[in-house]
Parts: sequence; structure tokens; C-alpha cells
Amino acid sequence: MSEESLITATSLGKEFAGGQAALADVDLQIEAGDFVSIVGPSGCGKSTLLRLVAGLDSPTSGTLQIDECSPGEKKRESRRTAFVFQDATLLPWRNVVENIRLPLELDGVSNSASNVAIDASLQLIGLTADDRAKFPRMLSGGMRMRVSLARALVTEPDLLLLDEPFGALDDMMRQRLNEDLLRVWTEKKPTALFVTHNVAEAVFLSQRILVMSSSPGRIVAEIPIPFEFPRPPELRATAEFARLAGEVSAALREGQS
Amino acid sequence: MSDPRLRHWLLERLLPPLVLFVVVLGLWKGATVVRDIPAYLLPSPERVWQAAVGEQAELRAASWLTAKGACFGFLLSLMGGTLVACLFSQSRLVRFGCYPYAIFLQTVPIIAIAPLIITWFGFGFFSVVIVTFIISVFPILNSATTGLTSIDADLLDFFRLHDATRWQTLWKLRLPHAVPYIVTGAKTSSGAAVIGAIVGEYFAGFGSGDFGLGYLVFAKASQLKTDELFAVVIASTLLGVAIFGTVSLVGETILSRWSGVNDER
Repeated sequence: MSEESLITATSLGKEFAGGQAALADVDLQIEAGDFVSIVGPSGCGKSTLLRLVAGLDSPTSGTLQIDECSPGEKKRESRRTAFVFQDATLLPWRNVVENIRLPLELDGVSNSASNVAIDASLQLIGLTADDRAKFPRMLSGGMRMRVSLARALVTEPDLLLLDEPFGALDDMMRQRLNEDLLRVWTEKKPTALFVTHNVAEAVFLSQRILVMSSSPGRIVAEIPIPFEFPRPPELRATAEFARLAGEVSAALREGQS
Repeated sequence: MSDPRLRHWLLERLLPPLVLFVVVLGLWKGATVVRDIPAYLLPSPERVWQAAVGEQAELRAASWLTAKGACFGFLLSLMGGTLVACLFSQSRLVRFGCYPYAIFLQTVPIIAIAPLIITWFGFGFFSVVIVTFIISVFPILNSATTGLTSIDADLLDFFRLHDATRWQTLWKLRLPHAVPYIVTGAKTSSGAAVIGAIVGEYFAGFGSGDFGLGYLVFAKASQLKTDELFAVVIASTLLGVAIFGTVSLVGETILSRWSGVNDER
């Protein structure tokens, strides 16, 4: 191989205590700078896969390598991983700016040094100066998720892991955040791994969709999405978009039968 | 008086307890007159008032001493309870190993260990503070432990993902999350601290020239000075209300700043 993949999984498996298999025999290759979505029914282990990549859990069989290291021995200095959860998971006692500062604080970056990165991150995700001093409870669900995204982006991650981040939002808000996320990704080009159960969202965002089926979770199909970037919102209304969404849905149905 | 909300508050919240107070006072007075109850059993309200006024120097000095004992014991509980809860939050093994003995503090009858405390620490202020601490530490320990350990799993993962140290996780996540729990515990504890100080003085409040309310309860009861005993009881109650009220007020102020509830609305 002339170019090593960033993430390589070989017959990866995860069994929880009690013998319940969450993942079995997952093979996976993701190149640096790719946007890949994982779709599947709930409980198919797609979140588990993401947690393994993040190093939050360890596999019970097979190998998983990121940059030729296991997720546990990540080279923190050379690579940054950011994780966006389904809930915004903001600290309620911190305002917007203080929440976004948190990952830098944990890395020991001084306040004065982090201010530039915070401003850039706020701007990137479309938050205004008025929002800076607001507390999470004053924000709508969509705004909270924006802050959560800004917090993930403030460290300039080169691996961005998203676990159904827009699952709790209404459709309009979901589409707007999809567009924002894509704009950020085109600008910064982190490797993005996006877990969702929403087919349209996956088609709109990704270059490649991995379809999973459940019990045990495995990858049953891989569907490339050839649309060019940047992708305009109107893309969702095209016939080709509908065809690809149909293809993904069919693969999902097939995986379940 | 033109403010309708103030009027409403006066009518709803202030008037009923005032009416009840007057009614009870009337019944009390009536009982002493009609049934001709001797003063050592039930002194009339005005005799209690006269006793309170007559003994006011003694009552004030005693209240002050008891307040000091309660405050020292409460602060010791607040700091000690939170500190031990921080230790508990660091290891399930430590928590599960020690918790039964923490419950011991809550369940042990203070009468049973008062002689021990006196044996070890002697009569006086120090033993009073120890008794206060034993009675008031558990609510803080309990609620602080709950607050420090009931953290959202995703947030813990977030801290783990960013290689947060134990210290960072405690200082930036667990402790701030526990603040509302500690405030709640502190309110319960402050009430218990006043009781603790009075009970402590009842058993151990001798040995110096100064006497607290707990000692006065003991002394007035044994001298059958029931009117003065009533005055002591009222002073104790007022002290309890004052300390509980202060802690509640400070707690509410902290809480409202905490999550920015009052910032914009």
C-alpha cells in the first residue's frame, strides 16, 4: 500500500460482559480526510464502533489501528480526537465561552492562548458575540448542539467522531446543522466518522456510507456517495439524491432480513 | 401597600401564621387562668415573657455560646464531609468500604457515646463541637457523595478522551456538579448542628464559666424554673431558625449564581 489508511480495523469484535456480542468481524478502512457515515438500526453497535475508535472502549477480538497505533496508545501530541455526543453534554455552570474553552483547559493551554482558537471556533460554527456569555439553559437544543460542535472543533481535531449528534433535533434544525458541519469539514478537512440512523443526513454529508445490521453488529454494505463538494441544500431535492437514499434504505432492509 | 403582589403575600403568607399564633397564645393564657394550672407545670405567656426579659443577659450569653458551638460544628461538617466525599468519589472500593461506618455516625445514639466523648475530650466547648460534628456531618457527606458520583457518563467520557487527570475531573466536573447537592445537605446539616450543639451542651457543657442553652435547659429543668425553661426553649428555636435561615439564604445565592438562572430572564 502506497498510502496507509488512517483507520484500519481487521475482524474487529466486541463482546460485553455476559457474552452479548455488540460487534462481530468488522473490517474497515478509512483514509485521512474522509467523511464516512455509519448507518444502522438502533442497537446495531454503531455507537460501540465509534467508542472503540475513540479509545473509550477496547475490542475483545481483532485489531484496530489508527495511525499504526492502537486507540489506547494514541499519539496525543501528533493527533487530536474530538467526540460529539448525542446530547450536547455542556457543563451547566459554565457559559458558552467557558464550555468551549474546556478541552483546551484540560490540555493545559493558558486562557490568553486559547482565546484566539475560541473566537475562530465560535465564528466557524455561526455563533454570535451575543451568545458568548449565555448559559446552556438559556439556549435552544439546536444552539446547544452548535456550542457542542464548537467545543469539539476548538482543538482543531484531525479525527472528528460524531455519535448521532443531531438525533434530538427537529428536521429543519438538523438540515441547517448538516450544512454547517459540511462547511466546517470542507474548510478544515478533518477525518470525520458520523454515526446516524437518518439516511438522508448520511447521504447529504458523506463520501461513503457504511451500512450495519444488528445482533451481532456487522457491516453489510458500503455505498459511495459521489456528489462534489461544496454541496448546496438543493441537492436534497435531486433525483440522484433520492436514488442513493433509496439504495441505502434497501441495504438497511436487506441487512435486517 | 399599593403593590397587589405585596398585599397578596401579606394576606396569604403572613396573616394565617399570625392568626394561628394569636389563637394559640389565647388558648394557652386561657388554660392557665380557667384551669388554674400551677406555674411550675405551665407558666402563663406573660410569665414566660417576664422570665425572658429578666434573664435576657444570661440568655444572650448562652445563645451566643451555643451559636458558636453550632457554627464551628457545622463548618467542620461542611469541610470534613465534603473532603471525605471527595475521597469517596475517587474509588468505589473506598466508598463501599467506608460507607457503612459513615452511616454509623448517623445512627449512633448520641446519649450512648456522650460519656465516651467526655472521657476523651473532657467537659467544655471542644466536646460540644465534637458532638455537633457527629450529628451534623452525615447529611453533607451523604449528599456530597451523591453529587460527586452522579455524573453524566458522556461527560466522564469527554474528560477521559481529553486525558483529564483525576484532579481535573474532580475540580472541573465532580465538585461543580456537586455544589447544588452540597447546598441541600448544608441546609439539613445546619438545622442538625443547632440541635447537636444544644444536646452536646446538655451532656458536656460544663467545665468553664460560660454556659450555653443546652446547659440552661438542664439547669432550669432541675430547678423547676419552668417559665425560664420556656424562655430557653424559645431562644433555642430562634437560634435554630436564624442559623438555618442564614445557611439557606447563602445557599440560594450561590445556586442562583451557579448556573446563571438570574442572569437573563
